[in-house]
Amino acid sequence: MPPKDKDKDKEKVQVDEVLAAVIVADSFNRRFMPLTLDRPRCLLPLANVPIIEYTLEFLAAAGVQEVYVVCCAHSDLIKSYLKNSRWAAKPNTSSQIKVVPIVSQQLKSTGDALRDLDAQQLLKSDFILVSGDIVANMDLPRALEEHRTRRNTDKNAIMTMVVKAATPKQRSRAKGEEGIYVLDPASNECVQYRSLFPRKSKLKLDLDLFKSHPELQVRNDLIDCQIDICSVDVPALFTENFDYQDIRKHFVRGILESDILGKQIHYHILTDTYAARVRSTQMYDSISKDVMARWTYPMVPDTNIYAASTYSIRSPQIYTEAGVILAYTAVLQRNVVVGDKTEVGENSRIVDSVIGRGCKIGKNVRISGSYIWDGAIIGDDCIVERSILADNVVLLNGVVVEKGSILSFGVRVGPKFTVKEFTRLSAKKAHDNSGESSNDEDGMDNEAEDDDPTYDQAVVGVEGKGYSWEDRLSADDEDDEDDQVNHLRLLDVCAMARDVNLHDIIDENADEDSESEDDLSEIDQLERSHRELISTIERAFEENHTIDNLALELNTLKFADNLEFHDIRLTALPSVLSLVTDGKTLSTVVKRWGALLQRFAQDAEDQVDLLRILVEHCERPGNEEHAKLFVKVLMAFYEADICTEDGIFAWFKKQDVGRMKDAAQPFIKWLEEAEEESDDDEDSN
Amino acid sequence: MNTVVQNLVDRLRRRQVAGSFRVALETAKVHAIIVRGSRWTDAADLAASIAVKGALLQAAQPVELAATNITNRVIGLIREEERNLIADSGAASFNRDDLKNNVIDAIKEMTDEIENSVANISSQALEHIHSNEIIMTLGMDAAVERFLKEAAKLRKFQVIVAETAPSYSGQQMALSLSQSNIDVTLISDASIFAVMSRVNKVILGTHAVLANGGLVAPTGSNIIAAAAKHYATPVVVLTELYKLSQEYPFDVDAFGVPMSPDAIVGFAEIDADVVEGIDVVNPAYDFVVPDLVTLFITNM
Repeated sequence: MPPKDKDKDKEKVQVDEVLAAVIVADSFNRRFMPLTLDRPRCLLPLANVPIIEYTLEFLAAAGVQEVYVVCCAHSDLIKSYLKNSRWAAKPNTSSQIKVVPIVSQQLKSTGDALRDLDAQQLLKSDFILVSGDIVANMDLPRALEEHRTRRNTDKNAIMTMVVKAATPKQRSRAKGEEGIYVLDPASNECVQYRSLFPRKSKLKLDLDLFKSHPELQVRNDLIDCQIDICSVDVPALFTENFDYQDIRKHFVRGILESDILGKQIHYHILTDTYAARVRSTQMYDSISKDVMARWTYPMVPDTNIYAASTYSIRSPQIYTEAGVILAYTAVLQRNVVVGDKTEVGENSRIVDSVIGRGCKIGKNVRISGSYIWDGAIIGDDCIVERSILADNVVLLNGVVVEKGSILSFGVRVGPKFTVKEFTRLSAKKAHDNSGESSNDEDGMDNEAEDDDPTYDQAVVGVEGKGYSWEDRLSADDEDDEDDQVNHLRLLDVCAMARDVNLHDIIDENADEDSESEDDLSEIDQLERSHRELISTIERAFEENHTIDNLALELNTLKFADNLEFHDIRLTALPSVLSLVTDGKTLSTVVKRWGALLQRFAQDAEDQVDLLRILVEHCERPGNEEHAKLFVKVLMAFYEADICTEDGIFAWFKKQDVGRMKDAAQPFIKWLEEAEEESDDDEDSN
Repeated sequence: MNTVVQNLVDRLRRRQVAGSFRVALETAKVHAIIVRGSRWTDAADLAASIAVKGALLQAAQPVELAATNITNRVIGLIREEERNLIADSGAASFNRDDLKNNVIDAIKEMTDEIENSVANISSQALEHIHSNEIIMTLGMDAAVERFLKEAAKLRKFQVIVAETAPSYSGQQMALSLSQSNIDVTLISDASIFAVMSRVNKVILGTHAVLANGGLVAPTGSNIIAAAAKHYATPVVVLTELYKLSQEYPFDVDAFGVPMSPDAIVGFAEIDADVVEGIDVVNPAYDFVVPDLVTLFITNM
């Protein structure tokens, strides 16, 4: 009976559900430029193994049976890589796992990738969503199990995010991309999520949340591993909400903040296993180190997960392939990976670094904290510090590469030349075709190869070959979250140097940079509020508002922007004085608007502050007119009761010696005398 | 065919199959499939193909020496069956299927032997454990566990178990033994030396025994054996035959297998300063030099 058979089939399908995973093999940003001009990020080597290899191995070890690799930029490279790798879907080979590349040229974000998948209807059950640059050894089956049990009871639990607890100084925290999670520890539900950037001092929680969740945790110690277990609803939701781009920024927030959808997102905290994503050069650095320190075991060089490698380990964490040729006096200090057929010359020292295959390293070379990819040639007496040197980079004799530099494929530098810190060099010219606004780091606008062989000798040395690479993102970026973009861009640039190392003074500088940058943003904020205050006051002048109304307006602004009375005085006083042109206008202005200042200078302390502001204002260049009038202003303030005698005396005592103090001297004297007189009067009475 | 081998290679590499017992069984299974399913013409051909596959398995995880041991056993079985067939038939030629069936039977026999080896070892327990003895051990080894439990049926003795950080497999051992009404004391690894003076006998399991009699044994074995040497306490090592390897330990570090430092210090707890400055080393195995071992007990 045919119908019965059909039922049976159905049952069977449900029993052995295929576990699928989606790898988004495009980063949709430009962090690794100019390296990613030639090669997508997921094919860049990490400890001499293409990053995607770690991702695939992780999924395979977790028992995933089908992997869809969504690629956009450099899709041909990814496709041909997969075809020639051990994951290729050939019969009679290793793969219990089927890897299917899906090419789509129009992708701009993870959101697009998921919409694309939804359109193709490839996913039929819960799947794992990762990007192509995950390194992990976590227990995925356990997280999956949790997700499935939850989903069996509640169909609205559509997604489980994998996060990892870590201390604030953990080096594998992607700086600048931390998030704040509001979690319900009882149900493992994520109630609210917000990125830490742009910085805000407040986090608002809806009171209603506490009705359904008696206990909530607000946590900032979680690293987002960007491994998500999604139900089939997720791509569908992306299709419904076509403006969702980023899975965290838009999707998670959108779902959590929406009352209508009623969907829930859960989390899975890793405590004892490893998972991280190569988001930036900083993360590239720290994950490479984690691999060498074996946190990712069994994904370490000497496991040889990557076909045809022959690494073995010796203490302290030195990994070499069989065909490495070391000079007798060459030293591999610690945390070093050296690939096959690489030669290291006499008296060279290598520490905390990865050297690719077929490299030639000359004599007296110092390499520390650097990543040197296949086929690079480093001449005698070179020093390379915390930089990335891509395939076939040539350093002629005596070149120094300072920290944070990235030398892209085929660049040649030297001889006797210093590459300044945080330089990015590319063999291809960064042509400024401003029409092209591709945000992809893996943008493919490199077809117009410049034939011009004149290289900039100021950047690469006399016999050098290559151009300085400057990111031309700034001009065509119309992101409304400008602060954030700026912040991230700054992070990207100095990323390589940002792994924290106590003994590194330069690093402290880098940290200072970031601090001053934070201050800057605060100042910006303050400046904006000040501008608003000034414009409010000016409008009041023009439209002749009453003092009451203006004071009310200013008070409102003060609360809205979390300002102090000082800020109001700071803006109100110069605004009022701007109406004063000479001695005559002074009295009228003070009569009309003096009460405003009076309101914001109630006690002696406030008045001291006000007078200080007045002095500062008068001392500022361009206000010479007001400086001349200083004593008159002081007197007018006294007469209009803006400042009391006590206030003025207190100010005078605290005021540093200067032109203004000298000018005020007679007035103070007069005031003292007047007071004495009145005292005398009182006495005689 | 390749799929089967590759599958085991992957699992060995990921350490999803680990430990001599499981590796021995899985290797035997793979070889049985090769004998049954692959194309071969005569014994030499078959032996060569087994050797090639065996080398692949060994390369996948050099520390799992049982893989090569089993490969060599299977090659030996093939040659033996060939000799038997020639002797039986009296001619140099014989039926390929006969050889195949005989070899598969022999592998089956070997598998049974592997599975029963723990029982065989433990049957000798009463000859080695006497009443009121104090015995020290560490880790969770199936042979040691069974050995002690077997002796406990007739004798009364005390066992001291070192907890075996960071895997704490000693704790499991202590629990398991106490459930069989054995008088168990659990101690920290640091107090091994302090307690050793009271111990009559150390009984250890091992991961492999190398050609010179040295052990590749769970971390902590070297401390316990060295402490025993100091107090002239006999060290008895229980080893199944498939753990005897012909490998010679030219490089004793090669068998350490450093694992993720996670078990020693949690990734979540450490700061960047710590990671930068300190190497955290967490080897899975110790190498124990031969002169520290007094006696081997096997399943022969």
